Amino acid sequence: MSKDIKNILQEKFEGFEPQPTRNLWAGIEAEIQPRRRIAPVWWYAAAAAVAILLTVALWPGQEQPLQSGPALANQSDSLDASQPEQVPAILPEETVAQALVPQKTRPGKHSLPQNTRQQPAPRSLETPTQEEATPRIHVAAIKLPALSTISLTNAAPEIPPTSTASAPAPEKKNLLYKDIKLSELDPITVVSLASETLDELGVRSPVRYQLEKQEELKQKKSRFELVLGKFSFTHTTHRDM
Amino acid sequence: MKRRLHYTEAELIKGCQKGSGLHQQALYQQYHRKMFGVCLRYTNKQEDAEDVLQEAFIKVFKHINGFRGNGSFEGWIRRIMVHTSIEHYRKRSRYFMVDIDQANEVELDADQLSEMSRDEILDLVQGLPTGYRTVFNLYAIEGYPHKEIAEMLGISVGTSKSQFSRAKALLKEKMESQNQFLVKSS
Repeated sequence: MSKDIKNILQEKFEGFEPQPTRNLWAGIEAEIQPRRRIAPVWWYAAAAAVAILLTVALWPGQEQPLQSGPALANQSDSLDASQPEQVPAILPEETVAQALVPQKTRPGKHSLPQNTRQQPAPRSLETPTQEEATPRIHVAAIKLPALSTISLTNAAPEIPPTSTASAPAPEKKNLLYKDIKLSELDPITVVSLASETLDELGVRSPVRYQLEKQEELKQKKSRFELVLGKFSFTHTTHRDM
Repeated sequence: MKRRLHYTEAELIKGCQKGSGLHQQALYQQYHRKMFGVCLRYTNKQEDAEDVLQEAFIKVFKHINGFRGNGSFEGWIRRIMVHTSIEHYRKRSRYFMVDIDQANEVELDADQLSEMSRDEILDLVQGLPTGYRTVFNLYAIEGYPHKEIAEMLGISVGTSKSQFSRAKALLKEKMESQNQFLVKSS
């Protein structure tokens, strides 16, 4: 074939950019999308871990959760009362830190609620030395406070004000978590799961809980100021956000 | 991450290899129209071209990790388009590409060709039987030598050459009848 013909033809089709009549991208995306999920899975698992630990932390079951409750409420004394979202956020960070200390595997997540229930919270808070606790919690504060704040701001309005104030049954609803594969959930499902659980457990809103427990707080204030002191930097990091 | 209007080739490749949805969509945005043009030439109707385009892009994203960076990225995508459209017809017809005797060599009228619009030429090409159309595109427009075409299609070099001459002959016929029509009506 002569060069002319080839050149002519190639020229004619140069810059030929027609538009397809239908939207093909949707079909393409659907086919390639499973691959996209591979990257953010760890993120969802982290969100799930926080949500679960949060549920456990706010659970006013036996005596020992009360001790963590006053810590929560006690911190609110120093914080502005109109910022309830921030206050509970601090607690999950420390429980996350506890979680990060013992195990990171999924079986660990399930057994953790058992651990925190049996040990009184202040003791487990005081046991790690300040140097030990500091880096881990700091890490947690950096990594996860946004998630815990988000999950709480979602959870707080959803908790009905009329929920019963009595302590919920101590039976742990471990089944709820065991049957779910957290890695398959998206964060929104995880968060709504956490808030649903809170509803079921009859957890009161953090604000109400704080108000109710203020009497007890004053008694235990001196004891928890020590604890507070250890965690004061979380206030800073949290506020700075 | 902010969505930008234009990404460099390297960014797109890297992003798609990581599975970034943003980059995948950007790659599609930047290349799909040109590639649709390629698909239109290799198929005989718009619907088929769209199916092929979709299939081929899925292959592009699934095999993006196989792109070693040796050679043009656009050329790599283009090859996938061509292969996919060939497969599209190969699956449907046993007689996709049969060995034929070499026809007499004809030459197309260059002047007439340059006078024709792109859409007219596209129409002519789409009107060719699939086998002729494929080889004609690969040789005359994509510019592959017969040896490579033969390898690509799994045929002999001789078959590739004859398919091509037959294509030219048919085109010449059509062009001449068009010319006559135009002459008559003027």
